[in-house]
Amino acid sequence: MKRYILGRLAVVPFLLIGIVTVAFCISRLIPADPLTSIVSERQMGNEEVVKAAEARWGLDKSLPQQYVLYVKNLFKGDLGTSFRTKQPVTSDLGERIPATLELAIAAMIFGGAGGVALGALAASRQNKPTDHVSRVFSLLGSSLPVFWTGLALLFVFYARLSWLPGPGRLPARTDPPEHITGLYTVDALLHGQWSLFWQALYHLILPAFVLGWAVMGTVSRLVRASMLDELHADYVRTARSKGLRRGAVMRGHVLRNAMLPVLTILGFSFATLLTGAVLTETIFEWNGVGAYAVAATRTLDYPAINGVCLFGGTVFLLANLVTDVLYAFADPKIRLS
Amino acid sequence: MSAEPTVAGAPHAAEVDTGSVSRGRRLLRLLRRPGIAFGVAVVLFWLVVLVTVHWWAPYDPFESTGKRLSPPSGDHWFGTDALGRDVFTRVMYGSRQSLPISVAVIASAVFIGSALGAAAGYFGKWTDAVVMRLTDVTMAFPAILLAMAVAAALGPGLRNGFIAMVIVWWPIYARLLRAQVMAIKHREHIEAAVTIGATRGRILRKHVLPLSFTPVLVNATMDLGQVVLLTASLSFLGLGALPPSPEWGAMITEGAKNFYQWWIAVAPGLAIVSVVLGFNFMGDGLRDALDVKAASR
Repeated sequence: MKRYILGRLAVVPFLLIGIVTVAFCISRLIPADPLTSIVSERQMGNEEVVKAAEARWGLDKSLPQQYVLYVKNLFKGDLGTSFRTKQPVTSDLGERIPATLELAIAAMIFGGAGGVALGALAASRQNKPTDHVSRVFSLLGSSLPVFWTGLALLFVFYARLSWLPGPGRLPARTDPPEHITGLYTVDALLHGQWSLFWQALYHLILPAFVLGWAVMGTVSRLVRASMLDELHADYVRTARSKGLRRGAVMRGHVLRNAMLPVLTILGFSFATLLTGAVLTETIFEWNGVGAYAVAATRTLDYPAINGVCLFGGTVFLLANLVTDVLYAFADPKIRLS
Repeated sequence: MSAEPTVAGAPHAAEVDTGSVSRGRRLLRLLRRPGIAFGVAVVLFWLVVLVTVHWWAPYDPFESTGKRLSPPSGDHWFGTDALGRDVFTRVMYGSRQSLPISVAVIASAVFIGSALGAAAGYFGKWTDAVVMRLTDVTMAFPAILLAMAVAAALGPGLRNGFIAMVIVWWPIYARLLRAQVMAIKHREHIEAAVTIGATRGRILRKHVLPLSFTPVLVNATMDLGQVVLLTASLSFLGLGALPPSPEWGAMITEGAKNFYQWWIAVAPGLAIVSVVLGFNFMGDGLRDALDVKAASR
């Protein structure tokens, strides 16, 4: 197993180089002159200002030189400065990652736990009405455009019924809790600010539901298929013939074995949630990485686009790595090899 | 559990695995499954709309009817938008944007991905290494971010959105085909073909690719829906279809701007959901029915 894990680790640097290079290429593909977003329109005729800006951003050098400069800066943890916010991209991302993380965790709890429960239920009632309802519910999850579901739910539960709060992480004119983790719910708890905690949680419900539904669909379908596979395995018949009750076999044997393939999809889902919150964040005015990415693409802010791509690629890479390692521990076939 | 366990798809194994029945006949029989039948019906409905909409659409999709933001009524089933255009008409015309582009994206991705993947699996060595590292790097990025970044870099418009989405999708088919080819290439009938002197190209075309038909079909059906979604998402973000084109995602953006006039966003949303659900039901049913693993048990 040590060899397996080392093998997986050995690939990481190469993938990282690939990610960094692709992110660079994409950001430099942009045909529009980045100067137009740095220098104000009035100053564009001013040769001195343009020259200074070019030197400041390294735009006067050739592409390979720019690449070398970019990699060098990367090692220093410098992702460049956003054209739009005029702040370092790293600090921009640092401010926004907790918001996205909080949303992704909430969506994951909802989608992951809900998906496992729904999938197990569907498998144990195969081809019965429960199974069919769960199939439709899961397929809906991966068929609904999140930006539309978000709008629709906001309209119904916020605008019409006023049961749930509108967009944003907290009510307007409410100060967030003092920064510790950046996750409002956690920070509020740590400071013992109960009402703030409830407010933050309250604001999480709709976006987490919208975002988590798709995950719930994929997870439940996979749990169902995987449990059905296991249910027909020989060891289940043996366990049943020994006189074990159906529920005991389900919990003790089937669910455990069926969870193996699910592990893979859970890790992947979390990465998707972290990076795929683009649309949900836009609808719910959630000031996270997704909303930042959208703003960056709209203004052709390429240091920011680049930073977001790097963030997304790295999250995916780590998620895959962690999943593979967990899998190696969970699967005796790999663990004992 | 007293009776023999029923494996998903097993009762239909006979339909799927009989070599004597032609492929067309076998596909037709799949329509007996309600999920697949529902999916096919929905997709057929939209295809008919796509072809015939200009004959029966009540209004012009680009011209104002003179009434702005009017709620649904007998004259305007889904109301009118901020520019006074009939929402129903525009949604029906929207099928001419979403369906062709998703078919084009998947067709191109399947073509490029299959060619590269089959070559990687069959020739191995450095061809394999290059193609697989390319898929690794492409798939290292979240689909929506990659599509957004590429679309933003190339500039908005459906044509650039199309390029961005092909870049996102081809690796999936490259990996699929590679795995298929690797699994098949050491089977006896392939080795027999090699011994009688068939060329590599001929073996790929005549023996290897036909066996990959099923998994590609299942995946492509599911992915068609996902491309419809991604197209709409890109347009929603202003990176795909541009106004005034009646694209569903772009129409939802207009709906979001007029939040309290709910009808503007409802119809395009329902259109997306129905198409994607149709493709998903088809794909889900096909996967169950054609699952080689389940069928062979």
